[in-house]
Amino acid sequence: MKYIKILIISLFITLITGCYNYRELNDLGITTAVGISKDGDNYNLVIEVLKTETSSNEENKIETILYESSGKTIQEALRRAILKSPKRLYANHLYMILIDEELAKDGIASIMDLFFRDVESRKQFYVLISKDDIKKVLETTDEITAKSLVERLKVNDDYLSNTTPITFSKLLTKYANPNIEMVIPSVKLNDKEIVIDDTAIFKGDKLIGYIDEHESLYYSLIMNNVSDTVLTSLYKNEYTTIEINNTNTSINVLNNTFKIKIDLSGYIAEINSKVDLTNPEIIKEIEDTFEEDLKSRISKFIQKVIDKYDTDIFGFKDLMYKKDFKNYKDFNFKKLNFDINIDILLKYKGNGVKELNA
Amino acid sequence: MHKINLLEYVSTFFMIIMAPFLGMGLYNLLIKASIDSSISVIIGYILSFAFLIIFIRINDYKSNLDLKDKINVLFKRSKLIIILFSIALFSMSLCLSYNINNFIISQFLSETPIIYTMIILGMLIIFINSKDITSIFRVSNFLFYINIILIMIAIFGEYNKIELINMLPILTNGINRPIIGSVYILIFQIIYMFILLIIPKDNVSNNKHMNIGLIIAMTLAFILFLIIIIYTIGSLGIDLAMKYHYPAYIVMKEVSIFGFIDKIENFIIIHWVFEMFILLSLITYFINKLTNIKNYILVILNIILCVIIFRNSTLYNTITKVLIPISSTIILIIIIMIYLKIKKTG
Repeated sequence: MKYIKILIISLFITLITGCYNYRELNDLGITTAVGISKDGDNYNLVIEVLKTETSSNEENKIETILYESSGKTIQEALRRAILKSPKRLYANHLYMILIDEELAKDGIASIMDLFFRDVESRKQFYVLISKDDIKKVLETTDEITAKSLVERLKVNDDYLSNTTPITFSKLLTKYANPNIEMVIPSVKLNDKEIVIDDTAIFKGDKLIGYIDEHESLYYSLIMNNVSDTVLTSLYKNEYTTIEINNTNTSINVLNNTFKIKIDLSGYIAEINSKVDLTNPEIIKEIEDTFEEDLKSRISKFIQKVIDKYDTDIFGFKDLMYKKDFKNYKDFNFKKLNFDINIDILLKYKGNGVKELNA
Repeated sequence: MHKINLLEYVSTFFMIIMAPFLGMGLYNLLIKASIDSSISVIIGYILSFAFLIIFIRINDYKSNLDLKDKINVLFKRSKLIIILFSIALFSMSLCLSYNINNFIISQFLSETPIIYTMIILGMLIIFINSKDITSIFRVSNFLFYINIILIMIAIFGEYNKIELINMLPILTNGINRPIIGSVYILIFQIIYMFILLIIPKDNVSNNKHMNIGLIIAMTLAFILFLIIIIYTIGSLGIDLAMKYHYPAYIVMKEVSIFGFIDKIENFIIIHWVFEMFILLSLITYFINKLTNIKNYILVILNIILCVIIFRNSTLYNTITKVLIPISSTIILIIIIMIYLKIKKTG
């Protein structure tokens, strides 16, 4: 009896463990990017897949291959890619999805639903809007376009903050929240080279417009998403640049008035006017100039979003819901008051104590 | 029967009440209490002391007897009570069993029929039940330490992604929702503590410190409930958290340690499988002791009924919403009857 038990257990272990669901690495089409566009009723996909066959190229670099497919739904189109690809697509290592601008204008609800439901893909991939033909964008390099684009986005975010890279999981959080609208960076082709362009803003699931790179920076400042950036302003009729490497934004709401407090600290990176930088009053003057300038630009930007787009990308409604619930029912996006307070602290002047061109 | 170490007993108590939380516990709590789920946990903690008092009182009564013998001593129609208790608990085990297997299938083995994972888990349950009861407690104690380490990894790997503002606003719709949520915590999780009554108190060594041990285990479990809720709502936001079937697992996908150890959610989530394994093993042991039905028959019946009844996850959710409250109420009524009878007999 004991031997029969051991035999039965051994049979079960060998026959019904993960082997049932096994997929060999060689049989997987490791997908790095999915580009989605729509033509009439059909979704058209361009799928970037890693070439896993041994490569004979000299530099031994990883190459990719693009597959195109179409279907009435995105999932159908994804599965139909098998007609061209010898391998089943595997989305666990997806770097990004690229959504066609026209499709985004029609609405991205179906895309959100598909990837929300999908258990295979991790939700940490980035989402981008393509202003140009998706295939041409993904064709620009024979390396992993998705990886290089995502790295560029991250570097941009780390050192310039004039774009707002967003992972699908973060986008989903905003999409599910009825009190905040989505913002997605866009890319376009510039002489066969991909460049990160304006930031797309949404109302519901539809793209309704763009904010430029400066406005994206103001948006990031309001949302407390800036790690490092540079600000340029006119000081004594000459352009001056400060580098900001520490930011903190807090927003409070009381009686329909949003108090936005932005604390920035950094150093003078470039100054073209002849001033005495050893004088603390001059430093204070520079700080004041930048504070006034930035305050004015941020105010104009918020007003533009309210007047032109009427979309709450800042989540003011969400903030009121969470922090000032008793006034939430009276929320009117067009009738909000703002009290913007910017405090810039210039701690250093780089290597120099005095200006070099005195 | 060998004696069970107090630490093993207490850690098993912790495993039992933790087990259903990551699956149907959290899902139902978020649906019922929404943003006030954290308040539900606090209310639930206070209410669960009533359960604990009843547990301790029954456990102290004729401490050399197990629950079946106590029922036989206290009631004339003891068989009916035992049958009702067993059916109710077995129904709950069906939901638990499907819940964990559905998670495994839906997240990792989409092409594998659910019966396969059920058979593997069932074999483990049959195997551990073929050993002495002390084996279950020893294994549980060992898994408890592993679970604490895994839970700590999840907590420290995720803390910087939490936005506490997502926990607001609380109590905007009054206190009713959080109270309903706390009742759900009691009937979906805390109720399982009573299966430990199948172990006579005298079979636990050093049992004079048992009560304080149980309070510590329950407090620890509730602290973890609260942390899991804060992490889930804080990370996903309440709107998205309520849309996921296994929201805590989705949150774990973002765990990153030192910024470079990531994609470890499948490693961490194993602690839930361990907890469910211990709970299902003890339920099987409990029903076996109460009814003398053989372990393997119980497990096979469980698998067959799960496959027949829960044909899809939507059906499972619909049935669970009815089955668990009814079964829990039956168990609770029986437990209160036992408690009152003990009180009456002095």
